[in-house]
Amino acid sequence: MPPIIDRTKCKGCGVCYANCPGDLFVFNKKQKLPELKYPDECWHCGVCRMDCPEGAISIVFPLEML
Amino acid sequence: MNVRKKALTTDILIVGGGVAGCMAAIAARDTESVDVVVLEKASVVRSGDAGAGNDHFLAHLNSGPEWDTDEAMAAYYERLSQGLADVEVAKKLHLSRIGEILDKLESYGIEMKDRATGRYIRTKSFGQPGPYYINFEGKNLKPAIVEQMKQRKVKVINRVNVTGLLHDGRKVFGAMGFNVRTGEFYEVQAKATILALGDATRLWPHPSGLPFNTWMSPFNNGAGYAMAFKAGAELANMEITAVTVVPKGFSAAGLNAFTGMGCYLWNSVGERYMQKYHAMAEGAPRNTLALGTYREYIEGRGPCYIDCRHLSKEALLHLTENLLPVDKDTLVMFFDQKGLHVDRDFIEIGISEMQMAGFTGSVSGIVIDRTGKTTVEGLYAAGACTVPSFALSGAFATGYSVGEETARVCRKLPRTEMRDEEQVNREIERIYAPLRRTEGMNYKRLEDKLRQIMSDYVGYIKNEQGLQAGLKKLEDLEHRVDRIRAKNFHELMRTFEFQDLLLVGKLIATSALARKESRMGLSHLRGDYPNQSDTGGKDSTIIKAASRGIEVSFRPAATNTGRI
Repeated sequence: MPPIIDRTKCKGCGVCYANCPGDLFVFNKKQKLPELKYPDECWHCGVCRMDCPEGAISIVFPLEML
Repeated sequence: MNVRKKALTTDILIVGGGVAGCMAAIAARDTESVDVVVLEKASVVRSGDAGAGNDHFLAHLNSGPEWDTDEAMAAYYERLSQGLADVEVAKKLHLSRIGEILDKLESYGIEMKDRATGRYIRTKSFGQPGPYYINFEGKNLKPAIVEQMKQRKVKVINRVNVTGLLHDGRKVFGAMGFNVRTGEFYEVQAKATILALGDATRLWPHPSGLPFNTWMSPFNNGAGYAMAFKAGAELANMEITAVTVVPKGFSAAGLNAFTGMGCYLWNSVGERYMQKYHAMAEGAPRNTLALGTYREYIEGRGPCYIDCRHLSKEALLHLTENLLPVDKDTLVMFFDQKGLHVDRDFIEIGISEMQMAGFTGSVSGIVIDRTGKTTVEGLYAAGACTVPSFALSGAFATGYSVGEETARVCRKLPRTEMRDEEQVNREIERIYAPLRRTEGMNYKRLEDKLRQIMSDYVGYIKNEQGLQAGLKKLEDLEHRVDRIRAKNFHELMRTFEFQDLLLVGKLIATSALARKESRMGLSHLRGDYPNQSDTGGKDSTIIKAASRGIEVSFRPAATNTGRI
């Protein structure tokens, strides 16, 4: 399910959490990392992907759409 | 539970920080020294239909040719809207201001012209008499206008879901809602309130089975229509829905990019089928493209495809590098993951889910006059939720115009604080009730049921008996709303989105029952009145709240907004 966060690249800036129009991310304060909590509610708009300064997010379309 | 409350007072409250809302805020500050508050459910930086970008801007430039004049653009508007929207309102709030808005966008740093040539790239689609769509690099148009709001010291409060308007039965004086992350309750009082809210999506199922896979933003839940209706404002033509043609599996924007570049549409028996339905073939208006494609499918000539193979190398490059990835950031990735090559493969297409959308040619939504005022005192509206919305260009222009008009009115009004503890307490009780329930259904079950009813009875083809059956089922569903349980503030937001959607579904079905004709292609198709009467009556359906439910009447659009 989109989006996928590459943990080796994510630095925890939280811009995806800040900008997602659907409020689909939560921010894990302990680990200081964003997490995708509501993948089923994704519009596939690409905001998280394009705004991520580390290029850590990719959009992987679910099987139902392909 | 202990509810934290925040109360604010301002001159102008703008509900919704998409393009229209941001532009209204900028305009208000440009016009008068007034305080402006914007309440946004997401973050203004990336919210709304254009949050992730847009690549087409509808504009005429008065550059010389006959098709490029004010008159020609107004005639195009009238032709598309079939007399169901007041062209004088559109001229005042949108069409007459396009040139000025273009200059503003360029001054905000949005590149409207081609960098290489310094000229506008213009393409033609959707029945236009000339190339009205400026192709531009609009990926970051929202961050750019948000920067302008910052410079003008507009107070923006993100992540607040507005659930209701403050009104005293005569006029609206603000709005209430809650923060979707902290749960904090907000009460904002204002001299004028502008609803700058979006479409109503998620009302019908998507063939992929994923309800958030919608053409326009799935986070637009018809809150503008719902709140305006509950405050007593009139809505027009709610039965005229939006259906479009999309790549199979993905309800992505991009049809205008394909048809604007001259792509063909083929059916499975090797016909360029749109030639049968419209003299302009693939250049036909959107609703005709949807109806033609739908007919091919139901009459057994599907699947249908978009074909770009004949395009020149330059045209293909423009399409795949400048247009498609800007209109929908992820569309090219989707084709990649599907194993499709735009330059050499047929791209399978399908009919999108239905929705209410403020696209070019839309005639449905909140009725506003030439100042952007609704039929209720103190309540204004702009952008996709209004009758004359007209897509991105309309959102920019109506937003700006209504912001100006509202600022002028507010300057003359004294700021008076109204206390209505009872109304506020009632809303607090209503908002947080789903969190207090220890048992109950999740909103999703009811929203799935809503989509099922809309699809079965208020779908692509409707008839009298079906609509009546659907309305009865929607009313039954209403009785279950009090049993929804939400486990956190995010679910609480979706719970209120669902309630607005349910009301909008009822308004659409009621209005569709009243319009006994088929109109605008697949936008309103009645099986019991199958002949398209696009040159037919000029009456709009008008609905408003009445003491016993919903009152429906018919009126010409012009009468409705005070022209005659």
